[in-house]
Amino acid sequence: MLAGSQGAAEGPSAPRMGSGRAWRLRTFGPTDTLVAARMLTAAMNGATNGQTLVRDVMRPPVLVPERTWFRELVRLLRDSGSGFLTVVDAGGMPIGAVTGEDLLLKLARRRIEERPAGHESAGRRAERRKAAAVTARELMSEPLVSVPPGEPAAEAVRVMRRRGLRHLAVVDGGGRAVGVVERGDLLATLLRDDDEIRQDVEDLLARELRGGAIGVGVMVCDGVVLLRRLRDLDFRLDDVLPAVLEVEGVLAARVLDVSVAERWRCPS
Amino acid sequence: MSPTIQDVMTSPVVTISPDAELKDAAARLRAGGFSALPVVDSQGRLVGILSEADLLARAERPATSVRSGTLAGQLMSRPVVTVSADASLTEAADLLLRYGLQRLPVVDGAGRLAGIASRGDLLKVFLRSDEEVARDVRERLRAEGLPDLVTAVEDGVVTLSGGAGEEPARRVVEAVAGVVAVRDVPAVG
Repeated sequence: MLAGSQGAAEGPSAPRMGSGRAWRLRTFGPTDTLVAARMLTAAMNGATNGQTLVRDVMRPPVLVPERTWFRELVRLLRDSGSGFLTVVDAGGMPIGAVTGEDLLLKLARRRIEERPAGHESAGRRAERRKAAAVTARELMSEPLVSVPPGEPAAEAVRVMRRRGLRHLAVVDGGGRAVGVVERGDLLATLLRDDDEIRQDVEDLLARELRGGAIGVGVMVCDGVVLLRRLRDLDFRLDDVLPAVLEVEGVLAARVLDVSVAERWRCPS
Repeated sequence: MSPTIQDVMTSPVVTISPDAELKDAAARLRAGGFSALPVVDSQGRLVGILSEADLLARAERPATSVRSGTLAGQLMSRPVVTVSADASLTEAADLLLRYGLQRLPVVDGAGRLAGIASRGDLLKVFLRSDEEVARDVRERLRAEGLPDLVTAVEDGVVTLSGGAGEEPARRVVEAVAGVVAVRDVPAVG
């Protein structure tokens, strides 16, 4: 739990907005995209504990029964404007996923089948199966790779990167498909490592401040930059916030009144 | 006649010049609901592709981009994987899959942009009517000098009669764009 006390008497508590400390949020340029609006909401909601969650950026899922026929899948993909279909069983529980790429394999069927069959990787075997498939069940990738809605969005990004995916199903505690995260919706800011951001912020402070960044403690939690004074400074720490916001990957920045003696870490 | 890229691609294409400012590119993408813009020079030759992802990454630093005056030509990616207008859908699908792309610019012999074919455009071929698919299948069998063993086409599934001897026909039919699968009906008697 992040310790952000108002004064010595209060002891560790969650950082609070309106504590008298400057609280700056990145201002997005004029845009009518749903994504940017969602990111802003996410930053505002999540920023009190420094986290943007999957539920803040996910879209509604498109559910298809496992027996859905090929042509219908093409139609659904086109009409939904999504690149991802969540396949469900008779009980409505998610069991796999079909993407536009899976459907495209059918057009490349001849080339896929003409590949020499010996020593094929699991991925290539799956391609053969999909190229011949006619129902959602036969086409789908399984098991379904998913994340819970309460997971930090940055974790969803990590999973996508690790597995080379463009989408992730969002499945709740009851095993129900409740959303889809599309990589395109996770703006580039979320792809940035907290450590990289911290490095850049420290470099910035070293450049911009007389005496360098020695008196300032920097912590970055899922793109939210938290600063604290490590000793008396001859300037207001709040004054560096605008410059910190300009660092790539930063969603929000604030100064915390945390005494040097206290350890502080990102909420887990 | 089996559809080629020319039949399914989107054309004319909304493009941007290498000298365009990023905010113009963003406006064009939003207005058209596209995910990428081909960048073409004054002769209409394709020189790169500027995607939404590129712009979003840059939009996170509005002050920086205004200061540095980044133009479309600086942010775009190249070389670009392209396909010619008379290419088959199979070739195009293969390219999209191999390089993990969302779209392929279609160019003529002189490198001029003729259109753009996305995954969705290619998949449209599966939404054709069964009659159209049957026509293409029969034409292809004829062209290959094979007997017309087609007895039905339903929901993209072609039924062939003739038993085990129809293997060459089956392979040919499976490769016709728009065919979802091939079923046999064993020959009677």
